Amino acid sequence: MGRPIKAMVACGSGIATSTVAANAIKEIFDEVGIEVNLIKGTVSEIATKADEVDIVFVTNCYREKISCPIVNVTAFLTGIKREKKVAEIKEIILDLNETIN
Amino acid sequence: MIKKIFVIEGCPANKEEALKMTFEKLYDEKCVKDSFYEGCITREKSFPTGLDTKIPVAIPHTDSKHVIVPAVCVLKLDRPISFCMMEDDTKKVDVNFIFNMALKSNDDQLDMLNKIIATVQNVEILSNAKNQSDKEFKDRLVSEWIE
Repeated sequence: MGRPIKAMVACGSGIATSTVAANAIKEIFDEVGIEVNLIKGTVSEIATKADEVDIVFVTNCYREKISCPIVNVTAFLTGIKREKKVAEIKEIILDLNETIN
Repeated sequence: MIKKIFVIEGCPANKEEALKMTFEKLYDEKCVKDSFYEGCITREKSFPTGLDTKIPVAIPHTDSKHVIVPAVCVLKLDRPISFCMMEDDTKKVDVNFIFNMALKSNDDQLDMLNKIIATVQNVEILSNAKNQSDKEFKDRLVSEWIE
């Protein structure tokens, strides 16, 4: 076993939509059996925290380039194309886990 | 925990007026400080909250420092109002409901937030609400979220 994946979940406030998204993301990690250390934060913290994590999930639009993959997760709030998003995230975290561990 | 739920109805001309209506209710009920409105406007500009759910909604909120008691004020709009979309702030969506969430930052809100998000995705609840009185709609929300 290697180390857990470090992930950040961000939204505008760091308390509302990221809380809902973090819960959904945790379930995906559990489902694929990969350990995760999730931190929550605000969109303005992404640039500084990106160096400390393996992947960032965000509920808003974020256009800056950062040092790790970033995935939009508004689908967990709208329910629209949720299954597609879950499949996309599974693929990304399985790949990440390969690379890291 | 959020224990206070309010439902109001109106036909504001734009999103600022709509946010003001929800703010005034929350302020009158002593749930938020007078800085809450500006907080919501500023937040909405940087991080818009329009969601293109089947029946589109907006879920504005702001920093917990503007909040006295956690609460949600739902505004049922007589005609849709344009909000920028959370997913892509260059796009707009005409929303039918505004769920203004006055939140504190503790994690015990997860359960409630999950329920609110489930409701905004629930076509049955929102389409029924159009023909319900504010009280009927509120009772339904209370039964979904609290009881």
